Amino acid sequence: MTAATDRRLVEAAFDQVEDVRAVVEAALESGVAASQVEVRSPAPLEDDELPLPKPKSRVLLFALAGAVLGGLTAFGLAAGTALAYPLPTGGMSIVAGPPVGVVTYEGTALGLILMTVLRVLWEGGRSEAAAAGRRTSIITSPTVACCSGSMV
Amino acid sequence: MTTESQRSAAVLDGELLGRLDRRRPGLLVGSLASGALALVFLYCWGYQIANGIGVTGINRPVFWGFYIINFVFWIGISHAGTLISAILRVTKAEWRRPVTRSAEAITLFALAIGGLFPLIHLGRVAIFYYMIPYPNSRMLWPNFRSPLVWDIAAITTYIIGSALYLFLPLIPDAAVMRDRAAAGLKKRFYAVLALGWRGTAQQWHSLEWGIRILAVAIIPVAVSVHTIVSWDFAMTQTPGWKSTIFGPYFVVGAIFSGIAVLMIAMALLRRGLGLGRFLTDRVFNNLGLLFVTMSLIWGYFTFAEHLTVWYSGDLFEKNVHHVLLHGDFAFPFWTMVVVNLVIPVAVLSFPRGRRPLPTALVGCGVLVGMWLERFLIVVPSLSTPRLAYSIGDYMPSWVELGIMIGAIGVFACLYFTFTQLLPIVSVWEMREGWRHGARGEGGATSGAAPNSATAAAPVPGGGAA
Amino acid sequence: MTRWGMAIDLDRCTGCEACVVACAAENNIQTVGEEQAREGRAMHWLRIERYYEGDFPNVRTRFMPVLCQQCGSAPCEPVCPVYATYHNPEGLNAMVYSRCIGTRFCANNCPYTVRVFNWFDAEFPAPLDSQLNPDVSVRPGGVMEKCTFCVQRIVAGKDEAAQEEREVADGDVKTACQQSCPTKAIAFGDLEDPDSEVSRWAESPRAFSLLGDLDTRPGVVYLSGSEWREPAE
Repeated sequence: MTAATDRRLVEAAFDQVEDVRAVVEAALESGVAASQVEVRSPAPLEDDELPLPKPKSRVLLFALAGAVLGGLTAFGLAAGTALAYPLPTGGMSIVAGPPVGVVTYEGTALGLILMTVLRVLWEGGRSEAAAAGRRTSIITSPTVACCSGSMV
Repeated sequence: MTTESQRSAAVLDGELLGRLDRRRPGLLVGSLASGALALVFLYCWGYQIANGIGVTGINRPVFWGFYIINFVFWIGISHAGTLISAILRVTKAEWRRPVTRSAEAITLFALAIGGLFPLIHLGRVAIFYYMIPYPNSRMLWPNFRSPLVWDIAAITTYIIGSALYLFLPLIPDAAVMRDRAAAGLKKRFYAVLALGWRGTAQQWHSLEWGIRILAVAIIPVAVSVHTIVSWDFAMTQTPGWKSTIFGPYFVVGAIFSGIAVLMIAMALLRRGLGLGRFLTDRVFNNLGLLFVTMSLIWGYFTFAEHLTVWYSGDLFEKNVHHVLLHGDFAFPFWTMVVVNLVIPVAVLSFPRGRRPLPTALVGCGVLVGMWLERFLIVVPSLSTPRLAYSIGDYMPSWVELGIMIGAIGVFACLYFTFTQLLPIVSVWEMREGWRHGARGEGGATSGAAPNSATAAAPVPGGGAA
Repeated sequence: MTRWGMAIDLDRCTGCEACVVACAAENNIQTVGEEQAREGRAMHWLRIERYYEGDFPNVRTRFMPVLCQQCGSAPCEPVCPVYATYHNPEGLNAMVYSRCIGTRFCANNCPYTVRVFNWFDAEFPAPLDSQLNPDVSVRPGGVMEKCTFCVQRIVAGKDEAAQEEREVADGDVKTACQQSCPTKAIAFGDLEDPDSEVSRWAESPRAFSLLGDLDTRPGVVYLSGSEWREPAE
């Protein structure tokens, strides 16, 4: 959303998704860009319910990157630190495959989980940042969808 | 359909959110009573730290006692939530919707307590951080070959993962609470939890991706956690512990005890909060079926474990086996078999046994049985060492008993508080499930159906389905 | 390279327990007091196991001094999360008391049950404090300990040899238990040196390792002439 200095902000609440759909369609027809329309809802809407472009998410990508990062860190800790301070073990291997594997496994999962959540929060906050300065709440009455778009 | 949808949704809101606005004296009493027990926990632990680990009944050769038993027990309980909820989410079981939140909360709190027990158990708890990898002045790192360090890696991952897995789906509900709360401390609390959630399409989309990924990721973590807990035992040379079956056996036992606690919690929630319309008989029936399946698998693993030991004829293994089945530990052993296998199968095999009260009672029995199982893993093996001269005994002291009972208080206190502060049934997921049902997608024949049927009746809460 | 080892001749052992007393005095092992001792918490790094054979009145007693076997492949070592117990280059299972956090995992994984735990802080009320060995640290409560093969004497022996600019000779290092044994049932020295007393004893056809089939490669060798059967319950 752009700042409301030279534009007007229209915010409306609806009981039914069908009504939201009608309003959104009307807004798009009158020349409002799809990116200017923001729909808020108390429960997730299906992709086909509104004639708006599907939001994009890179959570999966970041999750996988987190997994790689976490795995490498854990591997480095488990294998690297033992080599950094090699204690005599009386013939037992100081860096053994299975323990390193176990720790790497957990590190991979931890990295994946952390990056997933961080990315979810970041993506959610990004749209929030775009609407900075505006304090709004969700309208939480049942199945209400709220449509707000800025119109020229 | 439109009017019905409105009405049903309104009923749903009134049911779920209305409960939170109302003060429930029962919950408050529960919180206070369990809070008192939590003080017992703190006192006993403080007493032990002040006087030394010797105030326990642990002794040579039984170097591990109640603390490790309770550690394994609570970690087992923690499998109630995250694992079950994740499996139900991944398989898109519609009847999960009213269950997941309460299950995930059990996980988090049980894990927090379970994770404390190894620390309570330490001889020198003040320097527990020696086990954590950090660059100290000598650059000496923990020994990653020790199963205890695997434990730390696994439990850290699991507790962070479970907390986030509980938290992510909680954000929209926290926003609901924020918007309903009057300005003040309460509103600020929920505002912090909601992290500025507004419910935009982008936020929902990202959130759903996050939940989907976490649900998949948390399953192998949960399995690994209890496997690694079992390896604390199975990696040793101790007779009765050194066994390849321990990993899967522990995982099965954990899920088994986890479902037991989930059954009890849900029966209590259903009664205490009047959530009969959400936690339907159908939910209990399904969980009951899962429960009896786990009981049978547990029985099979127990049989397999003892059969191989008995047949091997290994002298030291047989000594342990003997005290278990015929010796000093025969009574707890056979009690365990009865409450873990005989009673669950006898009761839960019948539809009438899979109703809230019987499942909760069976669950209580299984909790006792699974606690006994952990007791029977830890103590008989240690008290029957290879060199007969060192054969020993173990009797817990009042400190250990106090901490064990107090821990239950800590758990209950956390759970009561959570139930009072936040919706114990996920509001937005119920709405979503209802929408799915209304749109005739996926779960049209699912748990949402009886809800909307009752919802058509204008009397809120009239007649639990 | 040195591999410290011990040989114990069970045929010479009379079960007098002089070694147990000497060990406690040498190594500042705490005396736990009557009450704790009654609970079985008396701490001994070395114990004399007694086994009775035959039916009354034809009973024979066998004595078996059991101490840390200083395993070459020690089950206690890999399970310690903080490297408080580790393998010394000379074959000792060394304990670093200051790193021990008291998980007691090592003791559970010891097939010989020789590790003892400080359940409380040690107390040495006067005049006991004046007989403490200054070469051995007093362990705090919550810490695991066990036989060290009198490592302080090994260190002293090496220091002395180094000052005299010579190698450590066989017999330079005597452990407290060995020194106090009236029947000379204990030999101590370098197992790598084929001429040392302990090596010669270990070559004996009477020699065996305790629980040898676990392949922990103990540094302690037992000698027994009459058929010794491993004590089964």
